[in-house]
Amino acid sequence: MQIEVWSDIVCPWCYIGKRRLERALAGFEHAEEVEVVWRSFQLDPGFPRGVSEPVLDSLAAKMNATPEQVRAMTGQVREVAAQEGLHYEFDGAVMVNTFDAHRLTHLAREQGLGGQAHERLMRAQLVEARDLGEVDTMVELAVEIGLDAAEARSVLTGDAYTAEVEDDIRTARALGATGVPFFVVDRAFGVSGAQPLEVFSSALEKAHAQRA
Amino acid sequence: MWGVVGVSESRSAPEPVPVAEPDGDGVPIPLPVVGGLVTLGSEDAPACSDGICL
Repeated sequence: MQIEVWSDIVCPWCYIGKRRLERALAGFEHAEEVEVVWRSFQLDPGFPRGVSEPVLDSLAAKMNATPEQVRAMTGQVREVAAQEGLHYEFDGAVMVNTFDAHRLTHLAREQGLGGQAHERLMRAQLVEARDLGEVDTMVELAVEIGLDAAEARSVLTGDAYTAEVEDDIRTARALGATGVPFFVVDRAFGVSGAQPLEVFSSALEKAHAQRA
Repeated sequence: MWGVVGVSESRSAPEPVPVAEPDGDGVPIPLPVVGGLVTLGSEDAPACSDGICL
């Protein structure tokens, strides 16, 4: 079985969805038959590359609200995240264009480290409020998951894996996704959003039954 | 409050439905098919779209 997960690094519901998928897999009898493939999606491809901006300011501008109003609105997602053991930090968080981060995840994916890359980058962005627009920070995170520093830096400062990222995004759109997280099991079942654990478990069971 | 988006229903076209679930009376209810995928879960699950999760 193959589960494809479209996700963006800066997406708080994606990290929550990741945790729920992991819990569903932990309780799935045939988990050893499952391959999880992490795919790229950009929530805000128009955000200027090379710019780092406080997340609350960025959202406030988009929503025509004040940063204080946006901060108040983050309450629900903070609460839900905490239930999954994730303690989000929005106050110091920085918004960046995630295209380069996604290119790095494709390098990781090639080396069997795609899941680790998404996990580390989401934690850095959403829990640790790191600036993923800084190449040195990204290289440090890449090394932590087992990538070679020079190779990671070369990817981040070049344009490798551009086509792969674009292809992932195109495929998501073709499958009908308008947002993330977006989970596809065996290209037969789709789960959109941070659904409850039971939905992920049901998708796994249905997909497995279909293969039998 | 963090955004409610997901699969675009408008992209769906009538397709064979491979899976059905019984309702309370045991009558099969077809699951929605979007982009060739049988979609599971509620349409209003929290998600992020267009840079907005609020």
